[in-house]
Amino acid sequence: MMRRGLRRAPRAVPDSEGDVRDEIAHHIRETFDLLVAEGWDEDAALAEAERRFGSRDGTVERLVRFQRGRRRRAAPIEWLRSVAADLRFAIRQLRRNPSFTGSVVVTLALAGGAATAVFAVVDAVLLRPLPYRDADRLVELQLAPFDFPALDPVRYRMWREAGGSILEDWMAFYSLRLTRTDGAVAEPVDVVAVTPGTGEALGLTLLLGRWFDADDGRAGSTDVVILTRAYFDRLGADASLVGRTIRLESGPATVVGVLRDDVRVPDFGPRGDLWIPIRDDLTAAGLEIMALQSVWARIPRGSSLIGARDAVDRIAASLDPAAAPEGGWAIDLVRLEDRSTRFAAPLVADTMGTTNRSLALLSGTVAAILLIAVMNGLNLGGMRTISRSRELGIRASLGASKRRLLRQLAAEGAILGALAGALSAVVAWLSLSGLVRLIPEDVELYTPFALGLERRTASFAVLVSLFAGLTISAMPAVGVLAGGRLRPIPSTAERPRASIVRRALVVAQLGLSLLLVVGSILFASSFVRLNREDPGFDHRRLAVVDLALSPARYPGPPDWGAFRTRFEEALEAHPAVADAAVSSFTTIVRDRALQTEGAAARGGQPALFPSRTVTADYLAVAGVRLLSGRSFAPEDVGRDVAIVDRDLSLFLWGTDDALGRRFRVGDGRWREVVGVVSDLRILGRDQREGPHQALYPMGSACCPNLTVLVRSRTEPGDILPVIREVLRAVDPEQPIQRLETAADTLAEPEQTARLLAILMSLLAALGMATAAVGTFGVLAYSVRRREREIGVRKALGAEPSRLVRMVLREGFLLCSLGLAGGAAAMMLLGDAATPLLYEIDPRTLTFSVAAAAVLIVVVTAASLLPARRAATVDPVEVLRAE
Amino acid sequence: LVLSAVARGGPLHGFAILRWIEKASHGELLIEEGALYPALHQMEADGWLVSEWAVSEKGRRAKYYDITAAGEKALRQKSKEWTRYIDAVRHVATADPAEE
Repeated sequence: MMRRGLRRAPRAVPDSEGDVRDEIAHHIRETFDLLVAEGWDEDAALAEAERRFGSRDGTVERLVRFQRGRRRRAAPIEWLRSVAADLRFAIRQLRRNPSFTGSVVVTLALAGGAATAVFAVVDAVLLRPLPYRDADRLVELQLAPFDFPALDPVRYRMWREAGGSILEDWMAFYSLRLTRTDGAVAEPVDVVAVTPGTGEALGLTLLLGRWFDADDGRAGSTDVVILTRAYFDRLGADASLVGRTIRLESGPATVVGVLRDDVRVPDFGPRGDLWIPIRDDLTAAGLEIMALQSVWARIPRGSSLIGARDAVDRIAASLDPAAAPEGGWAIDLVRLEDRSTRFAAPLVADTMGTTNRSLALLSGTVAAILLIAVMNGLNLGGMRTISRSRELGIRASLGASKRRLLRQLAAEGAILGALAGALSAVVAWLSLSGLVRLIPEDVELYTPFALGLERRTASFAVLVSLFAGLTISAMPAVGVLAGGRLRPIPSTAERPRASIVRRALVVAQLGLSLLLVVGSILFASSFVRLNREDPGFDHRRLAVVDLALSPARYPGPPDWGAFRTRFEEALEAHPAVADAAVSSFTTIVRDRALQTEGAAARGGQPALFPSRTVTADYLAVAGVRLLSGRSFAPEDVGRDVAIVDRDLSLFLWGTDDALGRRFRVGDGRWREVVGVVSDLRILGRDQREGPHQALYPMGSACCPNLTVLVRSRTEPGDILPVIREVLRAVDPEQPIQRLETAADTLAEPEQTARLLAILMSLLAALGMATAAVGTFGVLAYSVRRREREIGVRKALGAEPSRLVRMVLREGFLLCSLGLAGGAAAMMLLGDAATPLLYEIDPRTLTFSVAAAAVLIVVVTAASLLPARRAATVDPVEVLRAE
Repeated sequence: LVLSAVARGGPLHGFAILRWIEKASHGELLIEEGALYPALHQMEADGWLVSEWAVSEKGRRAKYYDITAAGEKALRQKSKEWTRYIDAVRHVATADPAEE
């Protein structure tokens, strides 16, 4: 019978209609019994019992309605209560198996953390919508056939007037560097000149003050500036700065506003200290703007991109026909969101294309690691199912429904996932802050977002981990669903199918690991090879200084030439300097019309065609090797001659002798080749697609932007202060744009390669470690399962060394299957990685063999412990346990 | 009433509760049978009673009710109210208006 203990276990579930009917029926039956005992005959007793009860159906109906209402009200609470119970139970279960829980959580957290960190970058660079107002309607105007420089201001004005009805919110910008003087200090500042209205059109916000207004844009008005938040902070974050005057080389300028801190417009240049207005007369800070950096506009609401393109094309045909090149002007409208690299100016597009590829590669890599971690968890979880099927079986036979068991397993998965998610957010945060430090300053990620762990990234971490956790709990769940196997007392022998699944999982893990290891080896060796590449000039004891002459003090060509001569002479007079030579900045043409005389242009054009003008002694100072022909002579000045590198020579004329031949680029002048030099890597070593570089003689009137090469007698590092000192003597107010050793210049593009190599190695190590845990788990389990067999063998006289071999053999079998799978996948994926590697074929056998060797060592290490255990099985112990 | 039946008599099914009240009140109090169950269900929903299906001494499946801690508290509260009410009725019934 019932005990008072009932009080402790409240019945949670409301009655069903059947219950209600049963209860009433029971009552009537009892009354009937009583009446019969009192001597009523049965028919009368039944009628009397019904009569005494009253309206039976009415009561039932009332009760059923009541219970139904109760159920409705109780449902959410009951559900929460049972979920809480499930979670408590799951926590107990997981705490009982700390090694399982720990290894799953840690591997998932590492993999999830890596995935999150990469996601954060991909998201910031590619996925997240641009933080500008109506960003989907913003377009960049790209002028063809020359897309660099973009547009000159005069043409911009013509376009703007003609196209005002087609596009709205026209914005143009131009970045430059000015000197700010403050008493004794002269510091260079990065300035962005924008058309008034740009900030508002982009939907940016100000911290203090106001935007540029129409008056600021009027010619001859007082100079005004808006400070970026970073520069405002650098000046002391003093609100009274607004309204004050700062001194630029162009003259005093009034601070009218301060941008809010989250404002980043990477197109404007990575830093950007100040904004100044572009005036209606197309000057900024008193300087005439030669070429705008970019022009943006917005497609009006309701118009289509295609419609706007057509309209703009019609204008293009009618405008400015005199200055039009062959084939006429064309303007391309490119949606900011659609630019393959969302923030890259055309020049850097190729570099950024590699960025996107690198990101794709990294995403694939972390996906592989995540997969390994999940498979690992599945494997460990699956092993636990064997022991747990007993527990599950007992609970099933005690009346727990399948749904309930599934929910409990899901609860376990969710807890595993949540733990891993929290941890992986931490891992991601740590690796992101590490990553940000690893990324060299010059490798600017073109994104308006700061890299870091914020809501999107963190929720990604948690979602990924939760999903992984739930997947892991799916293995035992399948067992539950299969139903029939839930016996309270499972057989000791493992089901063969489960063991095949387990081994398949390990094989897949090993295969993926092989891919990762090969990848990391490839990137590391690509980096090493890149490092060894001959840059085409002697970069030892060479320093590079870039100067952009201030237009205010050096307004015209005669001034440039005078400065150049003075500076060069002053340098050469210094005892530490062996020699100095000057070149212009590199001009890069993305030209579709590189032509040779007397021959049809070869199919295909170089992606970039960099060139620079150089003084006659440039080749000698830079240590460039002349392969044939001659170096420039002073009398070459003003003549259309060129020195090309071997790449360009091969590109234009194949193996024929290039000397005396002529070619032309965009400006239409035919230039005769007087010399061929070894491949020049003036943009850095990674110039695989043929740098196709050309040098032209520098005229006396060149140029406002100078690169000065200084060959030193001492260590190159020691020459840097000397150069600074000499420049100060020549012109104390001239800021330096860049001053570094040539070795450092060369190292810049390698930073990306090194970063990729480091990241890939770390990720590969992570993946391999996880796969090793998986292998270890499977072998250890297999040894435990076969303890009896091993004991018997031992009792029959098997050598321990044979038993060790037996286990190792199993490990090797798994390993070789994994290697085979991995190798097959590598053949398929090899092409995707090729563009990221520097002159390395990803299918090279050596790399695969090396990676396989690494993997074999790791798998052997992982098999050793289980093997030793097999060897030390005590037959007596095992047989006694029978 | 029902609560005190369950409180004193231990886990009971509906019919037994009715019988208990009948016996305890020496046949003076008769609860309408049809009204008992809605009351029981309401009290269960209020958390005063808990129930469980079990097999009775006669071998029949029956729903047994037991009182909870909350139910006991409610019972004490209700009996206090009842006592006050009964006292009040008694006072009124035996009062001498002259004392006013």
